[in-house]
Amino acid sequence: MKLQNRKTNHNRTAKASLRGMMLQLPREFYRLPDFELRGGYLTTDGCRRVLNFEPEKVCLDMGDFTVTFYGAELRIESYAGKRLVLAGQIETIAFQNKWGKPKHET
Amino acid sequence: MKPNVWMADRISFRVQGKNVQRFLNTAVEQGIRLDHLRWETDGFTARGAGRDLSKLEDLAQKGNWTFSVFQRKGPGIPLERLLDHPGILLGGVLFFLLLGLMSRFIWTIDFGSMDVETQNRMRSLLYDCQIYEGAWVDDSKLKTAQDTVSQQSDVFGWITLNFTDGCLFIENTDAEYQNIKKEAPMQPLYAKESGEIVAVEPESGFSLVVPGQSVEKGQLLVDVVRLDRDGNEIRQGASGKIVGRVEKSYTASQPLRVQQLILTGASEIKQQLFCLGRVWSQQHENQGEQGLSQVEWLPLHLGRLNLPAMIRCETIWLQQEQTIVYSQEQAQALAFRNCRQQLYAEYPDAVIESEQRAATVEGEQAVCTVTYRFCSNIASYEDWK
Repeated sequence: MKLQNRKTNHNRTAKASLRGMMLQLPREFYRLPDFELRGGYLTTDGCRRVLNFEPEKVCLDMGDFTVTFYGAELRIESYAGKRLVLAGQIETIAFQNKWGKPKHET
Repeated sequence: MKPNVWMADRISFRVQGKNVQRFLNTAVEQGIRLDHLRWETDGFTARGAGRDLSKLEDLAQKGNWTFSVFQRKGPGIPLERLLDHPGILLGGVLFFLLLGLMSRFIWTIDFGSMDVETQNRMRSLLYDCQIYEGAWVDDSKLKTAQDTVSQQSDVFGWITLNFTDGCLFIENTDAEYQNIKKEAPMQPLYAKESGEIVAVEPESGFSLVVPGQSVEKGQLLVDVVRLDRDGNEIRQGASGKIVGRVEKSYTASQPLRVQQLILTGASEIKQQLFCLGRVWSQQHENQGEQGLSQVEWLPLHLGRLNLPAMIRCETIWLQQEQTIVYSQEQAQALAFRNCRQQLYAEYPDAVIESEQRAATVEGEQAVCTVTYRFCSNIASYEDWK
């Protein structure tokens, strides 16, 4: 009996993950800015403005939300159009929507 | 002028003031790319392209930010220095302009592996065609010179003149001689002089004499026709040598007083400077005097750099007509020499065995007669009868 239940659960999980793989993400997902973190460099293509720029804290306006990087020796290596390359020791990243409520923190 | 120079540079600048992020955002919105942004107290530093300098300055002025450039990298600085000294730039442009213009002048002549004597001969030929260091060269001149030097077949087997960027290259090969034996003519050989046959060396034809035989002037020595057993004619061209021992006399006279041009020991130097197609000559007092001429060519150069100029130095060893008085012995010796010259002119291969001299003085001249006994080729195609 136990063996039968375990087999049934396994089948359900496999079906769910397969469905999840085939599931199309919401349309808004593709419009959101993305971040790419490699070594000590962070790259983004969606920066609209730099709101704050200090060695310990860099705050960027990403459109619908803002993102704040906390760390040490933070600096902007390159900034052109909406592409920004941030370098330094990033310790914390905080997301916040424009209305002031924190979205979540990493 | 300077803003244009700035465009090629990368600049590092500092912005100070309130809310400098606004400066940063506005600059990026205007399409300016910024690198290496570093936060500073009351501002930041960044790097940008020199072409955006005016935009950044305008932006800073509008927002009341303090903007200052503290570093420049790129070709702008040396270019500015160069523009501050326009003479250098102008000199460089002028140099290349003149180099281009003067590439049709001859700066140097490369004779290749020619020896000095041949070089001098070649220089004389080229000078006659108006080709020398400092002369303007065009295709017609080169063609004329090429034709002229090509006619010197006794010296050069093949020769060509190549003119490239001010340098005239002369490439040549030495002439090589080849003896081509002519076909023996269908003419018999006759004795040029009476004498005794010493050797018979016919190469073709039918010899009619043997060594030791005496022959008369005009006698047939080598025939071109012979009859075979059947009486048919066999023809063969005649050639070869018939050496005979001959006795012959020559007479010559030598005046005791002779009017002749004599070198005085004085010389005159004429110098001509050829430069960029023009000629400057040195003035001379004694012009038109006779003499032996010796020409020297002196190309000008500055260190190892050849210049399109040349000095032609002509030394004229002056001669004067004077009366030479020979003694009897001198006159006779000259007359004897004249006799021998006559013999060798007639028989170039003559080997003299003995000679008998007779000399007299008649009036103002010495007359000499020499009878030579010699061996030589006496065969000739002419009928001396």
